[in-house]
Amino acid sequence: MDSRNHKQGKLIGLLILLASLFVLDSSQLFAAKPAKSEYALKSAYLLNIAKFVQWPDPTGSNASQSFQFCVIGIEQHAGEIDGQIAGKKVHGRESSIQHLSFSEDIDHCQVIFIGEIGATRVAHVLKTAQSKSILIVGEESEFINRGGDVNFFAEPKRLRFEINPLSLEHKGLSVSSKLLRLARILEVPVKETD
Amino acid sequence: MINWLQNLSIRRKLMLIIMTTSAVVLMVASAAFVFADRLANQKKLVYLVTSQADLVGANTTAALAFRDNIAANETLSSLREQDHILEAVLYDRDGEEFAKYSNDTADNVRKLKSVIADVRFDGNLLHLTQPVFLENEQIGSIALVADVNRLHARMGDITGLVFLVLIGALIAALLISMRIHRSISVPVTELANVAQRISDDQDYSIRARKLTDDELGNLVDGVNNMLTQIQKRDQMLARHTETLEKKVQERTSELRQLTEQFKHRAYHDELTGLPNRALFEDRLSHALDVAKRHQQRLAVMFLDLDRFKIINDTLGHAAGDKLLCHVASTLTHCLRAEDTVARLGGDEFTVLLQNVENTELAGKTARKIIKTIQQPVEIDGHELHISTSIGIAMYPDDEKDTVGLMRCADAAMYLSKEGGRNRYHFYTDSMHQNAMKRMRLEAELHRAISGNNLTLVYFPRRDLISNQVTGVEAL
Repeated sequence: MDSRNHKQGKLIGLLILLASLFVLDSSQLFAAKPAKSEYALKSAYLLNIAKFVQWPDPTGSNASQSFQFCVIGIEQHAGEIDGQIAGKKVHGRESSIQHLSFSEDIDHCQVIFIGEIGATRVAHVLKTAQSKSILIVGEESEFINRGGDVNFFAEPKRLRFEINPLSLEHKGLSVSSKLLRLARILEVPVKETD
Repeated sequence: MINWLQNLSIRRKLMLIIMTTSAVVLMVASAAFVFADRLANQKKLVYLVTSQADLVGANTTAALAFRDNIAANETLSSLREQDHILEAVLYDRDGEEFAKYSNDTADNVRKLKSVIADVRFDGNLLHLTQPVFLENEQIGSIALVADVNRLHARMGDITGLVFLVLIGALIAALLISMRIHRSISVPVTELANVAQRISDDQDYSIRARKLTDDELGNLVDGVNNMLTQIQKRDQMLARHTETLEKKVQERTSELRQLTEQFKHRAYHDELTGLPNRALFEDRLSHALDVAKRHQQRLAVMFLDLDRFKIINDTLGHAAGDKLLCHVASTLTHCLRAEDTVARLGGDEFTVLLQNVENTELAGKTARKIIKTIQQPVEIDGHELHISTSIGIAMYPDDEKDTVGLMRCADAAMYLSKEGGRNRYHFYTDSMHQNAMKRMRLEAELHRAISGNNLTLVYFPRRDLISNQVTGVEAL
């Protein structure tokens, strides 16, 4: 039942996207109907951000394995997210997506996208992932200050993101300057927490 | 054009050849150089613009991926520093224009839309399209329009430099050619000058200087040899001419002498060397002209030696001739230089006295002659006494022409003969009548002899005392 709903949502989303591509130009698309496809857009951004970030080699997972995206929270938009990411190539590897509860093992993830799951849980996840080569992406204000790497925020006509290059550097992840040019840079020193 | 070229001096021709060759070679080389440079520049251009497209493309990948056209436009705006880029368009993966940059001067750029890799030259414009990749996936393309001229200017156009080098090289070629041409033109000019001098002065002893040891040197040698031969021939010719002239002169003088001799003979008596009748008549007619003009008188004398025939017959012709010569010289001595003595033939002489004031003067001369000739002369051991009879005719008293004067003198001489010889007579009119009478008589006698009309009549002589015929007289 759930999977069918996912599929239907995905199809509808795609159709809408295609139709809007034919009818409207891109800026109008994002300006007029941002809410409808917010997570589809965010997941597309997520995929692209991953493409501009280099993980240390060897990465935590084997090169032959799939590129692992992990999502915590945002269960209601899982279908849209999966549709955007699953099966796409990132750094030559096929990407797969996993939806996690916050307590699960996160070591195999390259990217973790955290929804609005409350400060405590976020802090927990951040603490778990600290010093690991995992890109932590959030979608709430103060996410960077709390120790996140990348955070989505909305501007009147478009979706934007902010990056803390210091935390990425700390984790051994290098980010392309091209990405930095598009992002808002927030340099927040990394606080080691036990 | 061709004539103009042919009439140029060797020096100018050589320089023209060198300069033309140099100019052609240099121009071709320069053109090739510029062309090659243009080609290389074009390659460089394509490379440069491709790199820029790659760079811009790479810088816009994120913007394209996140569909951030503000960032994309910003990135494209960075091309502002590249003033040769007139236009840049970023297309998304669907070929839609996503971002665009236009140089201020790019108003009239004709857009050649292309979303695949492409390089195209359109006049002065270079259209170049490069795909934009993200992770081996084409997410769009970047198209640049570049102004080739500005790029060339930026790369440094060598055309000006090449032109300067060309001018410099041509000047160098000119300077070099001014040196080189001498090796040919100087010997040729020298040779031409020598030829001119020879023809001007007709002096074949002049020789051309040999300045080089090439074909021109051989030519100089050849010309010099020819000159030597001409000189030799000239000398030979001069010698021959001299000989010939000498011979001609000899012949001419011989001929002149002969002519003089003949002329002398024609007008002089061979024996005595005195003028003959022809010359005498000639001089007489001249003298008459003079006398007529100056109203002078002149006298013509006829002389005949008395009894010359007897001397000639008894002592021989040789003695007669000597006597005639003696008489001739005697007569010459008796007369003035301007007077003329002539021998008419036999023992007859004539004398012309010019400018005689009166008849008495002529008579005086006649007396002098008679007296001088009377002097005894010794010839071949014989002492000879001779005398002469003279007749004188006066101009203009007696006659006015040559023939008349001579006839009158002749008639007067006859009178002297008849008068007993060794005397002279002036002509008188009666003499003319006598002479006519005598001539008539002579003519009748001649007629009578030929007609046998003469009859001898005897006249008996009777002694008056005895009345006896004592003889007869032929009448």
